[in-house]
Amino acid sequence: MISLNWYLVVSALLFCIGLIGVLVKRNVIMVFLCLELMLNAANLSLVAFSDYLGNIQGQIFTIFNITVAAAEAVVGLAIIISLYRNRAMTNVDDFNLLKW
Amino acid sequence: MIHLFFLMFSLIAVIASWRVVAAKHIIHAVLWLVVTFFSTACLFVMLGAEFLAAIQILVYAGAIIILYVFAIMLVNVKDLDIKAHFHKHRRLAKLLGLVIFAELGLVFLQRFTFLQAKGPLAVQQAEWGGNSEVIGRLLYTDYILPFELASIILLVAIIGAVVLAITQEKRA
Repeated sequence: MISLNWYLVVSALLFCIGLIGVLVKRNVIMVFLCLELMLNAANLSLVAFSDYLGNIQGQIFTIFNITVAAAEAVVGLAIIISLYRNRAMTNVDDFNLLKW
Repeated sequence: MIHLFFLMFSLIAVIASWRVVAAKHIIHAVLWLVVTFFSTACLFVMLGAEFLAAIQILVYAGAIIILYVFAIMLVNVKDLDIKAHFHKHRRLAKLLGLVIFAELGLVFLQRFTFLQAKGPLAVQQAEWGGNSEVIGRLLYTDYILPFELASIILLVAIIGAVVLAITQEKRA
């Protein structure tokens, strides 16, 4: 039997790798991929707590989490494609329309 | 034996997710992300969440990753600047990530004495009739309102994606 802590440590590792990716990457699609990594890490810790506490609700939360991740990916990629079509760029540093 | 499986799947997940961040080409990053999702699904199976493992592979590795691949195909790959793909503050970002990992590790390696463990979920689920049955019953009774809200979120996402990605010529 693996203790809860090790699942949480793996989840923290995945989360921090995703966080570093979000901070480091310049390409906006790569930033989205690393966001998916972070959501995945959160799902892992929810399921680990669900197993530890003997409570199924963590898995229900994970289903809603996956739903929101799918919606986020759809809308975000639509925004990226329309930005690319209008301005031909995918670099996050170039997205400064709202900066003053 | 179960320790061996846990070590193997978690190592694959961590290494693959690091390859996502360190990948030179964006398609390689997407493929490594699929590897990460598969090994996380294996960890879900070990935690007694078989339905979620199937959902993970179907929705994440099947649908969302394909969506990313289509988006990458629509964007010119030469514009996905492969050379200068790291931010200039990357040392600071790595340091920040390490600090946050240290904090999370300090918290996560404590003993959770304030939580009452009821033992492994798989044993209880067998009494209730299995993982999928329990989740389905809960989703359609106690969580019916969040379930409907999730469907509204998906509807809004579909309409939003169509509105955002529609071409200018057709709108005019």
